[in-house]
Amino acid sequence: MLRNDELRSLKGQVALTLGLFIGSLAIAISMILFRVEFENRSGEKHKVGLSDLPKELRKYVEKVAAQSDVDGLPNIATDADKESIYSAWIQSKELQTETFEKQFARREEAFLVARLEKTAVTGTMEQRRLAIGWIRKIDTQLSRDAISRLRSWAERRNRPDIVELLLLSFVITKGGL
Amino acid sequence: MSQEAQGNSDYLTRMTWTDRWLLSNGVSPSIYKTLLKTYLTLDFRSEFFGRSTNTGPQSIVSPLIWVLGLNLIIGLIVSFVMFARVDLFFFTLVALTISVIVSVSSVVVEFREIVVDPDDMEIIGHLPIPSKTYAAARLTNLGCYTLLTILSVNFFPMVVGIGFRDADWLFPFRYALSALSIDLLAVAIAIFGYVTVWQRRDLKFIQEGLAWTQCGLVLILFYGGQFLLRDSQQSLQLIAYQLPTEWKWFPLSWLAGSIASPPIGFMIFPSWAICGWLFAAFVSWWLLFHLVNRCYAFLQNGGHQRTVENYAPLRTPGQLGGFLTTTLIRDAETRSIFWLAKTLTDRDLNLRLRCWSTFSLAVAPLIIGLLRGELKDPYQGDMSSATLSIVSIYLIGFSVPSLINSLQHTRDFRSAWILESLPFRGFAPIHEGILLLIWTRFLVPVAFCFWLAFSWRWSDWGAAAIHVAAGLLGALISSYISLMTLPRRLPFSLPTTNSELTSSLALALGISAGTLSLLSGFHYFAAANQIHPILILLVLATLVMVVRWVALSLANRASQQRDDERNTVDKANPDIHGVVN
Repeated sequence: MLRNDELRSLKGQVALTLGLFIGSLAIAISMILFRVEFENRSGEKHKVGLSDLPKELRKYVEKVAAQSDVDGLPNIATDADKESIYSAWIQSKELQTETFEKQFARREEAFLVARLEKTAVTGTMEQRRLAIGWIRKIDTQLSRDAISRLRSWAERRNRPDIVELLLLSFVITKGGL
Repeated sequence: MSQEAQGNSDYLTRMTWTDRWLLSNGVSPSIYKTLLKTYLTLDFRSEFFGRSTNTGPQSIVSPLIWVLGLNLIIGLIVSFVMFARVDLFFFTLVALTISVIVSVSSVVVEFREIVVDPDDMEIIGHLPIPSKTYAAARLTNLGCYTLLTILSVNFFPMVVGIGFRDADWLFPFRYALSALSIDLLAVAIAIFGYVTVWQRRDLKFIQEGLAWTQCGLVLILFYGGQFLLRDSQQSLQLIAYQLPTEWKWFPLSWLAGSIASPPIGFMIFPSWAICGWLFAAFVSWWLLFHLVNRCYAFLQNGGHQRTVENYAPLRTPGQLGGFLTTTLIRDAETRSIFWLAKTLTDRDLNLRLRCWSTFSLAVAPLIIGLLRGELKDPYQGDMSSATLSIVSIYLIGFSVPSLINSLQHTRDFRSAWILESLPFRGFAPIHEGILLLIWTRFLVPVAFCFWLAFSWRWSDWGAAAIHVAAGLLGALISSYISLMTLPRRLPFSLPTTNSELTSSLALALGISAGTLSLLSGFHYFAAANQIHPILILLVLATLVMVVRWVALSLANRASQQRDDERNTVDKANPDIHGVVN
């Protein structure tokens, strides 16, 4: 064990510097070893479930999910309301139906494609699977562009699991909904 | 063969190949080695970083190690926030940008000590040291210092980068070469600029400020990183995903692109971009060698006029403060303490920066609240989104104990004899003078910024003013509590190296934190129950009066005890008050 006066000497200071770097190396290696934990840490947090939706929005969602023709329904005024409906969809299996997804996409295509693209980038793997699953069903130029961007991003990040999801979606849903 | 010739021959035989190489370039090996060893040892005890890191000559952890530690922390935070969240290109780009900022600021701060030091003339000027030898020793020292800085700030990104899914095992080599080339080039450009443009100007102010770059970056990255990790919008990942096309014009992005997407078939040197940067760095350092050589020649010719630090002249005696100060502070003793404290604070940039940094705890929730939209008016219904509004204003007061403690420490601590020799009534005017300084120099400007932020967010300047006033009253209560708890010392009477966390400061912080928590809780429930904010202000103002009375009474009692013990009260010379008036 080095004494204080030894630590104050040039030799001691060099030893302290080396110790600092060795400790840093240990931290850096442990970060690499726990990469999966870091990956799982990211993801979107959705607080609004189907039951938490305001009365009017809930009524709107139920109508969209139930009826095949939604042209008569009023538009949703704010992005915050659209975001609440999206949160409710991602949290509730009841809303993850083909009818709802198809009708909501018809009414709010631009918002939805951008939002799904965002989830595909920032969500957990499960959220990504849901988002890519929905975006593949919207067969428009907007969604095709988004899938193309996502694919090049996933390839760049060396994420074959996401590329696979995107490719799979392309094969299965050729022609869209 | 003569004896002298034999000796020379032995000397040449004993020389290593590096010695021969140095000699062939006009550098004396033995002088070079001696100078270099001295400079490398002195690097551990740098002047400016010693001040910003509060370390003195006797400290076990020297300023250099503190600075390396801070650089490592910067790299750690950058890596921790971005690891597994963004792609390798974006990660590399951010890490390289930060490393350039840190490397340049480190070299500019320590320019005098690691590049050219005019004081060298007094120490080695009379010795027959060739200018090339001096330049070589200085440049090697600069190279070692710069390499250590580059290594420390890039250490975490370089190692953690291997863990990215899109990185291969050669990433550390490519990253190390790129960081080395760009940082060396940036340092060389900074030194050129420093020597050619700023050489004749007084750069002490800039150097003192830049010495805080690392500390400032750590604070920004720590709080910014917290925000990014908690950001529900995942802004960082989205920025990395949709990077604006303008980044293509940023030179560092060319290098980051070469590191993150190496062309297939290349090994360590992945592209001509990195080779080009390395070549540019080499050329710039070759030029730098000649520049340092010239600088030393400039010193030797006697062209350098040793600068004597002259502070701005003080005001004419008898005018302690202008009309406003004289009108607002009627008590002459308080006014003189305020004036002395203000003068000492104004001439110590390091002290001011240390004082300002104490407000980071209050500013962080304000910024996070602004960015997350959680800075709402507590009187407008949604209390869950107004918590940060209340917490942030009471955290202003939490800075006060550290602020008062900081004002006891300065590099000009020897000037405390002026205060010691003045015939003050006791500690009460000292307390009041220091509090006035804290208010006018720190609390009011901070409160004004808070008021601007709340006014902008709420679109109601009146409500914002009342809200911030409550925070200021909380800060005043915290001030008097701190003055009661902290040791009754004269301000500016201790050297900066002793300003560690003492038990008395911990006690002051604890009591202040407890009181401010209670006050913010009271404010929260009063707002939730729609009690008028003016009533809250009245309650707080009453508390201020009570705490002030207690604090000043205790101060007077302590002064009485001190005077009794010393028995040095000079009642026979009341005219001294006329002098300070």
